[in-house]
Amino acid sequence: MYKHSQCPSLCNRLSLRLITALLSCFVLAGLATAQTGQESFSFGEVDLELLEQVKQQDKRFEDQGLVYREPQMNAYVDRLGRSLLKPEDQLENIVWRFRVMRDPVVNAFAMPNGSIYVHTGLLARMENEAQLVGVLAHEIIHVRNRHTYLSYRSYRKKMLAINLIGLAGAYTGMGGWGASMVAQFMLGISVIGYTRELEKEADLEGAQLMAASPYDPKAMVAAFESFLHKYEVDLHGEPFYGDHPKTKDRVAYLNEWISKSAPKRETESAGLSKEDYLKNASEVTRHDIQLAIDAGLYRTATTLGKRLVAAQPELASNLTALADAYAALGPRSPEPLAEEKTGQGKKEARKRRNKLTLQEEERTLAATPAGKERQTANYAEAEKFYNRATQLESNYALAWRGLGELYEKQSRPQQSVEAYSKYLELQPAAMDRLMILRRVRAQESKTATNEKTDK
Amino acid sequence: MNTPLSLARFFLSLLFIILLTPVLTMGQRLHPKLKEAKPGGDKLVINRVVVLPAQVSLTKDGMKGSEPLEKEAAAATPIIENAVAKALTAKKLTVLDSHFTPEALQNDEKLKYAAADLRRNYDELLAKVTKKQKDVEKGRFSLGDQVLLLNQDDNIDAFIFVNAAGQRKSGGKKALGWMMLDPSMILPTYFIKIGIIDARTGDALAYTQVRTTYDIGKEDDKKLVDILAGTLKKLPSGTPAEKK
Repeated sequence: MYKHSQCPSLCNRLSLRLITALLSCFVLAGLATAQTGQESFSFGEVDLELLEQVKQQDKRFEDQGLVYREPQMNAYVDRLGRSLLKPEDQLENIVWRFRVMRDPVVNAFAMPNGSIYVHTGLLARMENEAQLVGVLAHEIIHVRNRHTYLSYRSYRKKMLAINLIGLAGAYTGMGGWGASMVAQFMLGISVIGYTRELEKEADLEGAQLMAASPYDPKAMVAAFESFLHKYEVDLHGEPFYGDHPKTKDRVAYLNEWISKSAPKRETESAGLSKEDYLKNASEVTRHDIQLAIDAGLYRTATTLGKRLVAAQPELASNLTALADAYAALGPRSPEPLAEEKTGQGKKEARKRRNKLTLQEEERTLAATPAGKERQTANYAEAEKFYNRATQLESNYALAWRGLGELYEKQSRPQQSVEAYSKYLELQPAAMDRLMILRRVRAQESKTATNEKTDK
Repeated sequence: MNTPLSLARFFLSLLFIILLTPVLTMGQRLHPKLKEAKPGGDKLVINRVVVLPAQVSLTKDGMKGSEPLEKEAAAATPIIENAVAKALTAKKLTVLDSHFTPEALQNDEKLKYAAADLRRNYDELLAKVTKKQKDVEKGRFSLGDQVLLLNQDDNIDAFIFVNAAGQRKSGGKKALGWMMLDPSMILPTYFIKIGIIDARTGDALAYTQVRTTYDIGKEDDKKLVDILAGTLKKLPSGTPAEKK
């Protein structure tokens, strides 16, 4: 019989061994999945359940108005995606669909049922068709190699281990508890680590897919490099150990593969024309600018607007989009200032974003002398571009609406009423008719008050 | 020496009780212009409302981690929306038929986008509201007049936004919970947040949230209606809609 005091230490030792054994079993099981997963894939019950959930999610995206339905852009993305597919890609439980999601965040993602979504934010950010193809190639590999199923299987195994280790830890003393915490942390890290491996696989195999197509895999590198250029103050930064490899690492290993292993290209690479791409993507970029403004990504909106205007300066819709962005930019500088990029600057910006609504943030910034100055300059730019748009196309209604809003912001009620009225005259059945009419009424009463005061 | 331990024990017991409480209303906040509302008076009275499509997410928490329950969430959505409508009707508000259901919006892309954008902006605002719920009483939060895009006939007084998130537990997780004496692993948990937004100005008129361990998912869920009615207790009653 053990002395009373000896029992806990024995329990601890036993639990430590149990925890270590469990950890080893599950890590090995996870590795086994990682190594064998790509060769052949047979659907289990859990995979089919996941597939059903994903199909439902697809429907939800559609129902909630998150999918961008403009036919030309969708046909374009679909054509590019399908150009990378081979006959052997007609796999079980995959229906390939390439779609656009209304989201200003630069991102794309693949679902295991074959739906690949490219955000409007990414389409607006890409510089040419080949870069977009690079992103699509990456996502196709995720679907083709069944990455979602594999990472879900791995996650489930590791979560089971985490729960069992947690239970073992709960029934032991501090030593066992500590060991269980370490084991759980390590398993948590390995969940992320496995996802990173799959991401790297998608990068490298995606580059191979591109190399076998008319597109140059270097464009994939260029796409990733473009992600490094931040239009906004990067409030969060890349995580120390996230589920994707760091962008710089991705660029490095892709460049290494291209220089060492990519087959030499005999024909000229396709899809490198910036002008052609921007023409194809101009409508979706304008749509994305509005989404970015709504999401408070004013600098992104301004940069994208400038790019549109540089490509097609005589288009009233482009000029209006840029003007909208400048008007929304208000008291901010078009690009992040040096002081905003410092640790302290980021901290303050984070605090503002977390605490204040977008309107409050604008008021706070506009209350400073520098903010006021920037606001005046940005409003002047906006007015310049709106006016240019109306000169080019006097019947372009959205420019008049923008002018109305701008004058309202600048407390120029009479001019605001005139611009809004012109908008309503051009678009009498506009969806926002009631909203504009109410604004007109408010501005008219302001004008009347001003006149009274003047008298 | 004993004080920290007693305090720890006290807080643990408190947490235990909170986790076991079947229904916990966590704040009912009203905008000042609604707080002072009186039927027939000058202040704002809400009569006609539209419940916008609820945002419902469900997951199943099991021994093998958390898994999405998209199908179940889709099935629970109309149940929650109907329950909210019934709870509002009990407050003498007229709940109008929604023109913003996925079916109704199928052929109107612009309106579909407008509804989606408004929902996105609301969710963005909701993050701020939940952090400082008291500020609803100061009239701090607004979505702006873009709400009028969904109120083109000017016949709606308020939009009702519903967000629900639930977590069901698998048998294995429940067993683990019993072994570890952790109620958070045993009972299902649902959080329902209701925001009432002025359909003309976009002002956040009311906000309320409730946590319940009652498993949502039955047709014509009377208990859910009662829970929601409880969370809307402070909301002033409406007057008949014809008097608009």
